[in-house]
Amino acid sequence: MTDTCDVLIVGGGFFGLYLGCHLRARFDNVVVVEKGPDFMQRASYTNQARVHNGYHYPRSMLTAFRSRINYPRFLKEFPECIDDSFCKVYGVGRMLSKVSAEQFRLFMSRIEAPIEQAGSNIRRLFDPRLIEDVFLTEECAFNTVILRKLMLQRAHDAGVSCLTSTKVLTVRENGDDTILAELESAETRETIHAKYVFNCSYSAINQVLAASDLPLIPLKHELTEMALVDVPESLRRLGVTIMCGPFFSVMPFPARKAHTLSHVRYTPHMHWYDVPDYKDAYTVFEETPKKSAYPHMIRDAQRYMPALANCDYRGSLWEVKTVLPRSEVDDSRPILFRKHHGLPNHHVVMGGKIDNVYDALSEVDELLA
Amino acid sequence: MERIEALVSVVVICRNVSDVLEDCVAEICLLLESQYSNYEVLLVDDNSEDETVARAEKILSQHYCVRLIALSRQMGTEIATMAGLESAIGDFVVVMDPEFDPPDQIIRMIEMVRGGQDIVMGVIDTTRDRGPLYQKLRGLYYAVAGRMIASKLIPGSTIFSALSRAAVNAITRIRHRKRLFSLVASETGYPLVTFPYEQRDTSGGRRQRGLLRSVRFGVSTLIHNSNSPLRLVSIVGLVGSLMCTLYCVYVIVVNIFKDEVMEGWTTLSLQLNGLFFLAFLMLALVGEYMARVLDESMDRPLYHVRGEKSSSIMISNATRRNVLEESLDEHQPEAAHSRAPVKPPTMPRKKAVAPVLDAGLSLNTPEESHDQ
Repeated sequence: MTDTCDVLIVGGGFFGLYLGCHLRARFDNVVVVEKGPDFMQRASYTNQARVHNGYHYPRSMLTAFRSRINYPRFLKEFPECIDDSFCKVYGVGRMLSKVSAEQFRLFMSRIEAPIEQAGSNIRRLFDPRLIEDVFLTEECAFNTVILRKLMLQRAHDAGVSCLTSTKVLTVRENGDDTILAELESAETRETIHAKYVFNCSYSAINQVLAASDLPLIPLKHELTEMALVDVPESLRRLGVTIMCGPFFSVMPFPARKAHTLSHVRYTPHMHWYDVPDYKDAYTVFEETPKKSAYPHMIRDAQRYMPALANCDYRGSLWEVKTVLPRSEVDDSRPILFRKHHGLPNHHVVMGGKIDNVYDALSEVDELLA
Repeated sequence: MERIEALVSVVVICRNVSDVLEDCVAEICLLLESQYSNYEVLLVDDNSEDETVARAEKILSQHYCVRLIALSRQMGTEIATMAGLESAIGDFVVVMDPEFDPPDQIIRMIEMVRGGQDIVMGVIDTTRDRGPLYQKLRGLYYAVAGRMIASKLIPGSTIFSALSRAAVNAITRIRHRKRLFSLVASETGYPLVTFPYEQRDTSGGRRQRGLLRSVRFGVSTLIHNSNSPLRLVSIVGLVGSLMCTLYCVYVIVVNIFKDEVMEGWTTLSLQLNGLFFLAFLMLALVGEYMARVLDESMDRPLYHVRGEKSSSIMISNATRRNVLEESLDEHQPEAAHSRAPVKPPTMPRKKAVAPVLDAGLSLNTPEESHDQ
């Protein structure tokens, strides 16, 4: 391996790989470093697998609108991993919901997201005392396993150097306009000079920053649990989301041929902040005992949709979810892009959703232009 | 110890209980943790004016599985209980007041529900707590109100109770505005047992109701749960109109048989009594209609189903086969068949297609039934 490169990308998740492939068009030598044994195994695999089309963010016009813009682009770029064979249903809760049904419908028409009232065959699945209205929408899921294959193929074709089981320990200024990064794998420890470093390691962003004595970015982490369930036949071709409060989602998870059940109240088990007391997110993840909240999730969900009582529980997917503390108010999912963070040409990119990657690209292009 | 596989919800109704809340929740959590695989504690804050919400938020950061539901304004214990029940997700739900009800009894109550009682209603001994006058009045009230209210009035009942999921679902379907928890619970008709217990007053007598408030509460409960008082008005109205009629007759009789009747007395009396007769009659009628309207406007479900059971053997004769030896039924005259071919009798077809339908009626094998 050369000990110099143009671009060093920390983190081999979807964002890291995508950015690597994108920058390869501009630079000859792009290296993506993943500390885990394989690419796209963490949050890029364990997520709701939803390609957002705006419906999920009825309280943040910007996030909803950007999702609308990016939705067709993602579908066009990765058609092989898209599953749109199911009916996407959004219900609006009566109690505790932060939007009303009419508000939801209006908002979606305003961002020109297709929306219509669901027919009686779908409405009757819901308890009308708890659900104000039910809408049919246009959204789909993606297969995280196929997406990973596509990305690896693309990185290979583009000639991006990909390293697994390798950890970026520190980054520091070298004096000659390059950044000196210290890499550690099972056998060796080496240094590499890079012109640009992009930190795309999501929940582990502050790990490198802390080790390099760079200012930490205030991030909030949640230990989340999604239940993997086999839903009864009548719900198999449905993806259901109840807006907008302590409710639940039942989404198809094509990678496992099952559905995921997530619940706003029970999916996050605990949360912590990186600032002021930094602790490595995956250490916290490993150390925390995990007791499934599935009994809570399913009991609450079946109040709204009685048919869910016949779900078969297959297990839980646990993951660290990282959000910007400021998103808590309006539940938006902006991308965090910190240019020249602590060092010149050291950039930090954190995106909350896979399909929002395009917003980050334009920023990166602008920066390098 | 093996924990019981169930999700238990404990609804704690909070109104200015900042002093006792933390200890109470800690005790509940400890108990539930040791007994059940899953649990939740629901704090329903009835718009407390003291530190209760701040304390509750502190509790949220210390204990697992605690939720806080804050009501927007003071709704009263009964409505707060309803809010808690509607939000609870447990298979078994306990309602309690942190100032009075002992958490260490929760497990016993839940076990009674698990044993098949849908509603376990906590009752306290009320024979010693007040002065003799209060006791007398209360006894009288229960005697009268007990007859007037259709549902069972349980003396000494508190909100401390344990409910099955089925009972919770039934109770939350009843949406009276003024509700008395024990009355609503017994109105559902689910199996109800009382559970005598000792309250531990940690409020320092702050919440004891005075005589005047008790009377007001009693009258309000009676009026909201019974239309007997209205019925009484109707009856009085009828009696009044009857009296008026009798008086009219008296006036006429006097006018006929007596000579020195003051001029104008007869007409005035008749006019007055005629009008009173009408007024009383209308009152009686209006009272009756109001009682009906009240009944309808209560918006209670027509009925609650306690459960459904069906026979354990669906097909009584498993050896029966869906094979017939004859193409025609023996009751069916062949001639009739040939005369009206457009309208084949339905019976034999039905028998051939779905023998299960009438299988329950006969224990005979198909061969035997054909031989008959």
